[in-house]
Amino acid sequence: MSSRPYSPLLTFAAALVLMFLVVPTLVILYSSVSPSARVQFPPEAVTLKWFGNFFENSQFRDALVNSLLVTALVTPLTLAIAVPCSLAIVRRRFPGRGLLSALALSPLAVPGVVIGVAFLNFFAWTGIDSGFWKIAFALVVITLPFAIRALVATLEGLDLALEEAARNLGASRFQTFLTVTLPQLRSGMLAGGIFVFVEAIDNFSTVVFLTDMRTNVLSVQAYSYIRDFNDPTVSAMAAILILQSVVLVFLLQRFAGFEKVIGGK
Amino acid sequence: MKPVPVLWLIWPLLAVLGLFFAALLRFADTSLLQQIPGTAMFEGPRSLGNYADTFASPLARKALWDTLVMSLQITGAAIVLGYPLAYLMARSPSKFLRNAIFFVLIVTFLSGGITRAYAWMLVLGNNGPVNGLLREFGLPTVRMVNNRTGVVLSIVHFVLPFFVLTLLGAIRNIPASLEEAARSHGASRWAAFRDVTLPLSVPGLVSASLLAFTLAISSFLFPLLLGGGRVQMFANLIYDKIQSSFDMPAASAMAMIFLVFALLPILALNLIRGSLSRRFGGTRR
Amino acid sequence: MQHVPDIAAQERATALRISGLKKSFGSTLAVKGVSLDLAEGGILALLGPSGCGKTTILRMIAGFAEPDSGTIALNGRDITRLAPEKRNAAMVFQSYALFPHMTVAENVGYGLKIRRVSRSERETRIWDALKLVRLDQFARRYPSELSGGQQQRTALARAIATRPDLLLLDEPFGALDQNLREAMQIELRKLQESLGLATVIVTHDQQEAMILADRIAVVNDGRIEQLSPPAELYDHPRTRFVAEFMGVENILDAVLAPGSLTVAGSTIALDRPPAGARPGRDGPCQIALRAEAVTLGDPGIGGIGGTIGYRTNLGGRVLYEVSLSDGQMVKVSEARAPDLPTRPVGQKVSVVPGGITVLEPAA
Repeated sequence: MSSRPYSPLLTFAAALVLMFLVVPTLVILYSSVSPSARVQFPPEAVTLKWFGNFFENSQFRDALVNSLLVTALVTPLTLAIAVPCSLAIVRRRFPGRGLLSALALSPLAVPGVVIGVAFLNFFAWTGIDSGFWKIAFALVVITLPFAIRALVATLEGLDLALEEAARNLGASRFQTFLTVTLPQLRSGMLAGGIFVFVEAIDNFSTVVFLTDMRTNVLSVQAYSYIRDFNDPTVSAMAAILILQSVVLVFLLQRFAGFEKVIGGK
Repeated sequence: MKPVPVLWLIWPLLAVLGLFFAALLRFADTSLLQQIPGTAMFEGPRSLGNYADTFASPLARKALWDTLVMSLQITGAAIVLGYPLAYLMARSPSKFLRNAIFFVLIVTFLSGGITRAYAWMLVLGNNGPVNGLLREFGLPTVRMVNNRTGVVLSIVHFVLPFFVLTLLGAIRNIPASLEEAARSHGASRWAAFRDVTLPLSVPGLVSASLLAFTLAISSFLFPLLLGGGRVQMFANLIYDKIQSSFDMPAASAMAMIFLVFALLPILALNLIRGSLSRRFGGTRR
Repeated sequence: MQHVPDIAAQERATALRISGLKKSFGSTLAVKGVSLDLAEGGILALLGPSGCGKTTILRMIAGFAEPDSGTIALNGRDITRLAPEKRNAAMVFQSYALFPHMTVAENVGYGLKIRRVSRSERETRIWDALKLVRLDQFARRYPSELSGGQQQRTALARAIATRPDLLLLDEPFGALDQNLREAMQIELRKLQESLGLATVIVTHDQQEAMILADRIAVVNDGRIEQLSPPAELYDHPRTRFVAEFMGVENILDAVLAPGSLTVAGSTIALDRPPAGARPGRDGPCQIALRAEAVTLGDPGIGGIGGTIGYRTNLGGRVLYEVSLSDGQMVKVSEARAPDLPTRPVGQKVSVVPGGITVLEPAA
């Protein structure tokens, strides 16, 4: 096997690691359709009652609705902020450009709990009392770096000559942006948008400080449920999230390509 | 026609960052104040009392130490488990294998923290498949939740996709022909890896490890669910402080200390980055 | 294809012998049965367009691709399935593949270090190799601090420092500009001759192959179409593909008969059979004619009748395009001098072919 640059031992090691990665996912899927809270093999029967539980439980339902509403606001908003500033960071030369791009990514380095406590304190001080808006704003701060990173990577890979060709053929700056630049940003916007979407649904460590009696979200509700009950309703929720991520991966593969996603570090 | 002024492009970002840093500043200020006993309010005069209290507390010191040790263990495990996977993915000629690994990584990554924390509770629990197998073979069951084992394992699992995807990019940027050149000049597979790819991947390895460390040190949900109150990482201590006494100034001081520890490795990296790229990255590539 | 013996190999021992090499990637056959010999000290070029399989052949020789069938032997030792590092065949890569984290000296000494050559001996051999390629001044530089030509010479020095049994070059000059390339080609040829190193070079540039190689294998679609010394390849391509790839300007439909050749209705008498003609293969065929081997005369001198359709001045030469009566076109290149008259467009001329080569019918 001299043509391969790696050894069978490496393949074996990698297979073990892959198993380590996959097993929890499989156990969740298994548990979500198994009748008892106990994970056992072979299964006694297959049931969808935990999915029923999940959708009938009013707390889960409210949390799901809130999560979806927040996400529906945060994802486009974050992208709308990220696109122009990524353009500025990649395409323009202005004083403080390096500092700006470092600051734009800085929330990534701050632990979620610290952001949570800081916003809790800040919103109490400013008197903002709506859980929904507190959560939405915190999520925009947290997810902006993801979007900016994906978009900057995509923009850096673009060929400027295409835009020059458009200008040369008579398109204005704005027309060029709409018809040439923006379509090429699609894969970056998709990758960034998916990260934002997933983080907005899944974030726990910041959001747990900002929810209140009226506004609960899915992750925090799941945590309360796990603490108080011992049945696979959360497995059903997790199974839905896993299926959702499978769909997102196929979207990503179809419209952006895996290789492209890896390309942007 | 003149291009759109830069300020038009970046003002929304500036606004968001402005509020973010305002919150952090207000927070830093709060950490200097004192709680009014029995209320959620606080007042001056400003002092470093909360910081002194935190460092004086054995509980906080132990949590800080444990958090650092566990984060290092997790980072080490990510390197050991993640490097082979990233290397295989970067070098495998099989598109199917590359896509399969990528699929697993991304699905794991996108399925989120709650899902995975709960999954590990099921896998490692006393009624889970691991202990089920042990029982099947008549072996004693092992306690893996509500202790460090479960917390560390689940965080390694959480961190691994981030680590692998970051390192992958770095290894892919090292041309495979360099390894081939080494082999055509007499180096074995292992020697070619040791002399060429490994040293050239050091900068990528450092950033991937740093990411793993940053994610590990910030973990909150995993110790909360899999630690069962017995494993205190620093983030959990801050949460408890808020939950139990709503002592915002004390929690703020703890969070400021925590923030410094979380940022230290990043600052350290920036200090050594120059020499890293000189030693391992060639001079310019 | 048939095993082609190296004429020189009758005096010199065979260094590399490849027989029946095949390789497929998935369902596509990239190399479809290649056999060749290379004598000790000889230099062979694998010449062909991109995607023809020449690089795959080289990578199989180096050990980076595994053949499906066939054998590769180096100095009488079967190396077909041997790991690359055990073949003692050093390769110079198209991208040079210099280790960016090592200095020039460390790069050149890498193969020696791996072979556990003592430090003092290593120093001497690094120095010798660097002097051979005139890089002794640059030993402590990093590859990124070198020009393209210097990087190329470093890669070459690294390969020869190990004293390999076989030197493999994959498009070694592809990244250099034209002037530098020619100088490097001649330098490499001298170096290779003085070291007596058996060498295989892969290239898509026929001129490069002509300068460097003492034998050229033209590779097309996974097969060797022709394996000949450069001059023979140039003068007498065997197939249409080789003729076109070697830059033959005219490939004409003709009818061959014993003692004569008919093109576009004009019959020319031949005093001896043209190159490539085989007994019993008379009839319609294709012939290759180089523009510089054709001369123009006035009508009636017994060539192929035609009309000048286009004329262009190439400095030292004039290129004519002559239309024949059946619509075929012949390119003719004649020397130009201030006192020689050139022919105007529209003039009736007679085309007198020289160096006629009859091509093998397409398979």
